Amino acid sequence: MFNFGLKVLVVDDFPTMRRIVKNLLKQIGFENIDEAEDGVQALNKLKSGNYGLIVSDWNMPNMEGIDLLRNIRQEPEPLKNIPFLMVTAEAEKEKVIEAIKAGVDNYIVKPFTAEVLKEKLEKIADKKTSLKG
Amino acid sequence: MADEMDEIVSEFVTEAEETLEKIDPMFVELETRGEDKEILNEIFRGMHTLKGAAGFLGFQQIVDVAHRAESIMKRLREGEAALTKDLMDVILKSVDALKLLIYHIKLKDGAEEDISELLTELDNELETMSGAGTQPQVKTGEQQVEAKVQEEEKHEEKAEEKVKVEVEAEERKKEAAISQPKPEPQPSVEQITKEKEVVSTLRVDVTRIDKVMDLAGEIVLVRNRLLNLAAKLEMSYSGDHNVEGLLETTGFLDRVTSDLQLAVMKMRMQPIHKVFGKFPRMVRDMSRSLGKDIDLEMFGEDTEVDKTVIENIGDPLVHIIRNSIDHAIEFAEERLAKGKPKKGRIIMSAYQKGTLIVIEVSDDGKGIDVEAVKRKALSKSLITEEEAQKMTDEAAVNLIFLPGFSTKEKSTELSGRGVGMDVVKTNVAKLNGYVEVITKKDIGSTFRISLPLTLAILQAMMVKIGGEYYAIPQTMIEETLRVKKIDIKDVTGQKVLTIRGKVLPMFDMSEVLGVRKQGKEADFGNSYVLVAVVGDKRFCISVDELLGQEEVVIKTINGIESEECGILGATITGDGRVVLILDFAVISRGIFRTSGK
Repeated sequence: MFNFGLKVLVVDDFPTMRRIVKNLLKQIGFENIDEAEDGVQALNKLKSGNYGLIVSDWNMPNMEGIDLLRNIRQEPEPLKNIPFLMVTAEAEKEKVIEAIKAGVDNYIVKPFTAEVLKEKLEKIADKKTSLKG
Repeated sequence: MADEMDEIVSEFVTEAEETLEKIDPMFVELETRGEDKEILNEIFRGMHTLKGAAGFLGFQQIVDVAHRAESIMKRLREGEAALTKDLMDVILKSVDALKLLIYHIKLKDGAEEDISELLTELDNELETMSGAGTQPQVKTGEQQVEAKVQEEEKHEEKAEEKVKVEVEAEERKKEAAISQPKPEPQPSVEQITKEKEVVSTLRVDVTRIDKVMDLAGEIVLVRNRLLNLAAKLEMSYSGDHNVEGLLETTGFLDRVTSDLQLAVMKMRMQPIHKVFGKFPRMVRDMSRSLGKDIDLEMFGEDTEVDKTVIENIGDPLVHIIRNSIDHAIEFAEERLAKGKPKKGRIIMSAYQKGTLIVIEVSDDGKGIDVEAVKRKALSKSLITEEEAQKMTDEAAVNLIFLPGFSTKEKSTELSGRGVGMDVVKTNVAKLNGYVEVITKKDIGSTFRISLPLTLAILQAMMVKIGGEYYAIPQTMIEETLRVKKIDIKDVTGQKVLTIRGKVLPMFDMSEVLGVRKQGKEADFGNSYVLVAVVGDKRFCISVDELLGQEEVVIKTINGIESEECGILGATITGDGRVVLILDFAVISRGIFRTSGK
């Protein structure tokens, strides 16, 4: 299982989406969930807060998810290695490659269920043990 | 959970409606301005977001329409196809269909729309695009996407190695691309953003803004009146749910009005650079013609001030700076003899301090010679011998603002005759501000102009003096106290009050204004006192009653033109009274002059 005490940051420009993702995370068992509406806001929050997981949309104004990811991977430890789950609308091969190159830990395609989300997170937890409870 | 779901759905509806509302005008822009990548991307993003959220909520029809529209927008954005009238029509049709679908969700009527025709149309367009475009692959429909996803999932096991290979391939491709650069589309993009900037600002006739400002002012008055009435109703009918509702509504009106005021105020704000901008040239020309060497430094040019300030502050600043160049800053040899740098310096700065805008002009000249000022004022019979002796240095310095005052025996060509520093005072007073002068012999002088942020509305303390109501601008009041009468001491004919170890002169406002004091109120053992601050002067003012703070709209009174009468204007209060607004800046000058403090 996961370390449910971890602070999760949900990044999406669409409030409904944030709420949906938040609900799904809650269903899995996460309790400490914060939100940001774009990459810029997310990055600011990440720098000042102690987060353990990011679930971010790709397509956002100001700073896209992919740029947020790239920025994070440039940061010093421990933020640099924070688990990052990218939410995409469709799994285009080029996009997936782009994300993996940028250092994404996994990606998930909209719409998804709590089950699928859990599976993805488990896969991440295999590599990044900080996510494990 | 069901409630939560309902909430999410209604949230989705609101956001979806907003998103679609925004898309409509974008098409108009596209039509007039051609293919703007930014706009295309915005529309794409809107569709994309809708599709994503709708997918979660199981609104398949929305997903179907939004997905196709998104695909079209994407290709337009990538420049793979051109925006034709037909395309625009079909996307607009999609927007309408989406609106309709969302409307059904909102009504929860469960009604279904037949969107198959639209879907076919969209598919046809996509196909035509593919034919014309470079990429033939656009399969649509959620099923296909899902299939693709599953395919990806299947491959994921092996993803690591596979991706590595692909990544390498990608990189090779990139390298190839670098060695064979594509033509840069940069310039055209830049052009577009520039155009967009122009459109994002609007030129509006000032009279229109002023009209809005005026109306906002009226609303403030009505709001005050309503708040007042509602408060009274609450007292007589507390608990009545209609009254409660009224209070809630007036509370809301209160907030909205404040926001409106602020918004209108901001509309009139402009950076002070508009005024400052002309000074470098002026200083250069002037100092050269005088044979002086002077540097001008400017700070805070971005500070935003009301348009009226921009229009009226120029003249005073010109006078101050002329004065500095002409009278204050010495010639090079004199400066060197005093051990100062050869080059003179003038510093102009602007900044916001609380609700005030402060504009300062400092020079490192010889400072104002207080004795010379007094002598001059005496010789011009502006003051009496006795006044001159009692006068503080600070009060003496302020004499330079009197009409017709000029300390130099002969006015130079530059400073002109007659029009002197009094222009500074008059113009600043017109803006409800005040000027202070800080001067030190051979170190220099600073002229500090403090102005309120807005000219039309001000926070005021309502007081009662001699049975009459008055408003006093809040900016001039530091604190309000209730003191025992016996604490007020008399020092050589001047009443003083000690507040936290500091002795401040105290004046009875009814005496200052010459209104009759109400006998019975004077008998109480307590007195209400305002600590006023004008420039760096602090003093106490006693009033009969403090009635509280109110936001007032300044109305000018016809017939009162003089800035020296001590009245800023009048206002109508919440309870419908017409009340005079006192100008402490002027009043303090009067009382300090007579008291000699």
